Amino acid sequence: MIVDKCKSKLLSTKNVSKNFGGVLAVDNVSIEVHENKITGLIGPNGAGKTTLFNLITGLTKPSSGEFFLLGKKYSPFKIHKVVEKGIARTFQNIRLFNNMSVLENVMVGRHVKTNFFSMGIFSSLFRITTYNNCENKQKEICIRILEKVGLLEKKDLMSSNLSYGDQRRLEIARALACEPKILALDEPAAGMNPTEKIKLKKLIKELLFEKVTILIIEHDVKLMSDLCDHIYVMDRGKIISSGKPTDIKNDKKVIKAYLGGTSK
Amino acid sequence: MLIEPKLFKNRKFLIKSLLVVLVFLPFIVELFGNAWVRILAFSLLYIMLALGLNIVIGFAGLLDLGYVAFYAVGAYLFALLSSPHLIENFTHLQLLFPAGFDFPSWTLLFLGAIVAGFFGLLLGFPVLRLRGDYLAIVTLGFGEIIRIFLNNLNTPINLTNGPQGIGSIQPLLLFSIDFSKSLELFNISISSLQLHYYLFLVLTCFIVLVSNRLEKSRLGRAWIAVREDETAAKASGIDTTRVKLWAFVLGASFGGVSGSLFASFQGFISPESFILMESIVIVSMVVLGGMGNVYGVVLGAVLLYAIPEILRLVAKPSQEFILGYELIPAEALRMLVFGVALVTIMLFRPEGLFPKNK
Amino acid sequence: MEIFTQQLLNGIVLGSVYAMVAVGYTMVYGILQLINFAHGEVLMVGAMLGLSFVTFVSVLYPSLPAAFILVGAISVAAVACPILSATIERIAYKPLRKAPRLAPLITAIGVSIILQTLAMIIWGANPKVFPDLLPTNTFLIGGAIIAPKQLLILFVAFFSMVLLIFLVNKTTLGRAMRAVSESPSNASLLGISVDSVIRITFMLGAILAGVAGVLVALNYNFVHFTMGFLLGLKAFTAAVLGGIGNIAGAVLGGLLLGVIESLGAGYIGDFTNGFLGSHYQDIFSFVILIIVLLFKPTGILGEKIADRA
Repeated sequence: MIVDKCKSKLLSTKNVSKNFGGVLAVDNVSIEVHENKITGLIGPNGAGKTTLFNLITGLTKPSSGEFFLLGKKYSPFKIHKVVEKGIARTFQNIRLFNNMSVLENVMVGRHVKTNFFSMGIFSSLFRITTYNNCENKQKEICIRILEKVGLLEKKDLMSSNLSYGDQRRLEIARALACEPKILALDEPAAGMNPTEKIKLKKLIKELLFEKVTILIIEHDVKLMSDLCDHIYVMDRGKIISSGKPTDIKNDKKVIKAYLGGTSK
Repeated sequence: MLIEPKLFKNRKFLIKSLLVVLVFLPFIVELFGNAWVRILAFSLLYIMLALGLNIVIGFAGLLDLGYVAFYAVGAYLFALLSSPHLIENFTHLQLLFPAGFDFPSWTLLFLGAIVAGFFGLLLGFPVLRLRGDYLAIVTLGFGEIIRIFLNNLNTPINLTNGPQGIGSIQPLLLFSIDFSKSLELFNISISSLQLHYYLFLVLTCFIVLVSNRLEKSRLGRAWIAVREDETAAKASGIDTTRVKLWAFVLGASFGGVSGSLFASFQGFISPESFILMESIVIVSMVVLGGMGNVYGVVLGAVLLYAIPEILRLVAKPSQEFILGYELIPAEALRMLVFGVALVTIMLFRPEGLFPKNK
Repeated sequence: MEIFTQQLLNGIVLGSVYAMVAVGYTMVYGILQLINFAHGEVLMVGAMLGLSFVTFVSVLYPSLPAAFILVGAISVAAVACPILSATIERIAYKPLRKAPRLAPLITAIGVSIILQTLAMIIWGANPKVFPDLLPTNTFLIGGAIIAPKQLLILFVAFFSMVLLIFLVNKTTLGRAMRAVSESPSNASLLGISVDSVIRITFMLGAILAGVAGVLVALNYNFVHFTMGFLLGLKAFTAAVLGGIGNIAGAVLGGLLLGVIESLGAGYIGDFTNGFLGSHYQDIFSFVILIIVLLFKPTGILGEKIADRA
């Protein structure tokens, strides 16, 4: 069994690559996500950030490389198994369950934390006390999560009726419901106005305070510099720079990638 | 907050009055003839079928076009285990059961559900990862394969008696009531047809209850999540394959029980009752009622069963009255109603009669 | 060996019919990801109209040579069926282009039922005889017997495929069709009228299906309002087998399916020691469909589906 010794390293990838019929979308990428820290992934469009996310969370199969969670090797081949192991994500283009209320969306996230016996078919059919208790407990947990993200008053609204910013926060709430060890956010601030971005930053900092580890892709370099403890910069599938936000800002390679020349 | 208790009381009253109507209905309807009681009983049977399919299509969003296969499995299982057919054709069975099969009805009904559920598992396993339209065609193929086997498994060994079907199916014997004879209760004579109606009514209410409970459960939420956005559902930790399999298995078992009830009710079954059109009819009921809406599907089933049946009874005489001859045969009219219903619902009201507005 | 050649030849004839119909399914699915359930019924209508034409003309002009009448019947089908198909597309499918995937599928089933029922009402519920309009003397090719009407099928299928492939690859219209089948949104940005291309796609498929309908009616001397349904399903299987969206795939799949079915029906008795007879022939295509979708869902030549924006 391959074990990684560093205790605070929650997630790491080693030499991960993804080849899309000749195009190397992710090229030999090794990153580390440390416990209770915010790790950022930035880079120009098409750099491979979302692909890397998809590789880590099981949406895409890697062409090569290894993945480690809590020191143990894992194969991110089934999306729901990745969630079971402790990584929950949000999507760049918001994927909510439109015909469900806000609360129900979050309740879906509890699926992985409830089991078949207390809440399975037979118990739900006969509505035995254990089932009712469990269901109520889950509701309470979800309500607390909604409170945390600031959506409590809107809990019975249809998710499709929420504002854009609220929908993003709902998606985060749903991911939090999975009680993940790592919360992976794919461009959570995309399309937000400055006020909403400030609220988002506040939320993420609060989550950090509650011992959630965060991996985040974003374009807003200022937002990332304020938030992240460690940033990886990707360009054309490779990691071209990594370090603290202040170091990244002055890295010539990074400046070149953003200003001079396009990727892909 | 003041409005709520009033609505609640209204609803209870509505349900109570509905139940009263349902209890007295067969007696009222029998005044018009036995055929109408039969229509009531079959309406309930179709409601059960539609609710079963509602789990697959309505809750989980999987378009199953071969649902009639599970109906057939339940029916043939019941028929084979409660008619003289197998014993007449297989001598070693004759030795084992010299007095014929005599399995208790509850066992057979239960078996119908289990075996049909098993077929659901068998079908679901390979087929659930296909995308929507392919899933539809493959399930259609499965339904046809079952029908073709039922139609042809009379040589070299006579398992299903082919197109001639299986008859002399023993009637239900439940709660010490023989359902093939009328029952004397408090000086009222309840005919066999009416007995079946009441049995179906009880079972239908049970299935409605089960559907409601399932819908509002952890599994139900998972189904709706899968239906809305399968990738997001997976990313929320749902094992979508397992969840879809459950939908298939449960839906199939409802179909199986309905099939067993059908076999004993009619006393005779043949592959003709399990053609593709039947699957399409049941799909129409679910679609008309509003996929996923339990009460909508109940209404959809009643409408789409009763209206064509009524048409069948009045089409011929009314056409002959107006036109002098039967221009459109009743069967064609029935099919036309379904085809037009499907197209118009999809074009004008795809959410069905009762859209799920919350 | 003679049985083998005979069944093989029969299979190729059958497969040519499947190919002609499969092309229609594959072109529509490639652009719209819609299984046009009504396509088989278009074939049936072609056969019915062909029969009506033949009956009508042979009564009015009994001295006309049979071959002429046949050409007339085929022409009638080739004109009427595309009109029918375009009408269906306009009324039942076009409004649902943005709807969730289940909706057009259910509508297509509804249309299929309506067409079958109308045919039952108009032409009656009983099968009708389609007369032999070609000389019935047979030829011997490599030990197998073949009739002129089967040769006609091979002929027509071959030439219509060649014409279609020429159309798709060498003409402006064909280029537009290929553009739309790759990406409707991009094509419309380039000024191509996606609606027109879709309509024409339906119509081309319908011409082939209608003509195939008359040929099938001639081949089996038989028309019935249900004749299109099963044939349509099998043709769709052929399209999937060859690679959906791929015209060459439809042709290959059609021929392959025809041969497998024919050989299978001939030999299944031997294979299963008499347990399964040839009435299980229809199951072959379903079984093949399931196997293909489970193990190689993109088909033999790979699928070509538009990216649905």
